[in-house]
Amino acid sequence: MPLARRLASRYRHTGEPMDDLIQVANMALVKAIDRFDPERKTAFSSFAVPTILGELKRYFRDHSWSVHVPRELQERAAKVNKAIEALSKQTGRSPSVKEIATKLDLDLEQVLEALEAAQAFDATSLEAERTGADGSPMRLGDTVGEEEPGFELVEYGASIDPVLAKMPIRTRRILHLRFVEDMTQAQIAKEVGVSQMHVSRIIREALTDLREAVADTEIDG
Amino acid sequence: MSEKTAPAIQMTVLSSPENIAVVRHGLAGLAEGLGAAPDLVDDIKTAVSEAVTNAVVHGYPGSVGPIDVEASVTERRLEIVVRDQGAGIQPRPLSDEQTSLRVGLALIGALSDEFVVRGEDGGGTELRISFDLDRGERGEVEQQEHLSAQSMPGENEARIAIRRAAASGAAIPKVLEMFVARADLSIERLSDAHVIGDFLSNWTSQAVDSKPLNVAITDGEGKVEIRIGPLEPGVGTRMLESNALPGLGNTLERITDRAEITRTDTDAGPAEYLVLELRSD
Repeated sequence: MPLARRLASRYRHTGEPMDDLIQVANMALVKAIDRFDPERKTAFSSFAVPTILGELKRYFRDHSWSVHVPRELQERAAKVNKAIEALSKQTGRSPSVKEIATKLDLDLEQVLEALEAAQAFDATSLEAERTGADGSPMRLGDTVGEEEPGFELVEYGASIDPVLAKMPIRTRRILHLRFVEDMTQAQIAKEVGVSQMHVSRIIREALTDLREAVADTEIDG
Repeated sequence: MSEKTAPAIQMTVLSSPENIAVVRHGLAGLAEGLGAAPDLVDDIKTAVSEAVTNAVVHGYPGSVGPIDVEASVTERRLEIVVRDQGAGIQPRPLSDEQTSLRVGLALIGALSDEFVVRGEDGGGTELRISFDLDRGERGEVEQQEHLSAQSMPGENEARIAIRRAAASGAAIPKVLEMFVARADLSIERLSDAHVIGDFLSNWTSQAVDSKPLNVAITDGEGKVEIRIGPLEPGVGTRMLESNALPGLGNTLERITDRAEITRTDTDAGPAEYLVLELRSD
């Protein structure tokens, strides 16, 4: 897949139209070509990647959440997030949509919309911050997962699947805890130190990515 | 039926008030999947609400019956048909109810780009509502063929048929999440439902044949059942096995409380269903 398209596709779950994202990334690529100085002897990709990611981040900062999501929905999403926290603390388990709706005096559909908006916000605010110090693309999971460098070896030994190996360490860990250890999202959230909503989003995205990767492998192989 | 009306998705629900949100939410997902601008999605939701409310309140006054909803997409147009087999439009003096009906229909007319009402006394009512997808933004879609009609849905059931198209697949997670919410399952199960929805959506988008995928969703006390089929023998097993992901085992079996293949004989020969169930934790 071409570089710009590949970088843009990282943001495909944000609800932004893919065409727009690809366009932003392509424009950034053109910019990078203009500015690239071959004399500097650095690889073009190591120069272009941070430029393109930077443009995509700027696009999100300017256009995405604050522009596309109505203020009322933004506020509702914040309230729903708070209610989930409060209800979880109170009962020791993840609440239902109905419980959230009752607490906030909303209907089910309003809560579902807010949950979706909250996840999109989560995606843009967290994932936009994952360019490494050297400019290489990096997922948030890579930094958070670093506290346990031996994890991968301990958990998987040498048998780690090549498709899974391409995922960020923290994503792999969350998948392992969910599907192999059969932990609940709330338990995983506690263990990994992120919100249950975030665990939910990572699992949903990772499974979609995995399915695609497996399909690609089947076609290639 | 002319070939230009060819549903990308067809949904059948019983005319209970709580199903209004199911249809609205599902079609909102479809519209979003088609790249409709947020304002247009809002208009579509309002119009759909009014149309389905109309069928619930006026189609089957004092009783219940099936409401068929079809959504077809031609080049730049989304056409939604809401049909009931109820009382039909009756020529009688304006009651309060009739006034509210008029307000509802006027609202649909105002929000849509084309609106046709068909109905006669005792013969059911059909509302045909069209939206120009370019109003606001783009819409990239493919031509659809006609889907077969579905039978009467059970209580708390929505029957959905989707064709191969990324856009029609977008409605599935939305309808599913509404059922999970209604059944009072936790937001973790909601997230599991999203994964199932994504899988079904992905499956239809990759399908090699052009047959529609039929999905019946039912909610009961603390559980939601998703019945996929009828499928050709072997297809259900293939669907289930496609969720075995490297290093993780079968993810679909893990997130559901029941994932099994049931086989039956139909008029058209043997068929199988993939039945999934989510229960409260």
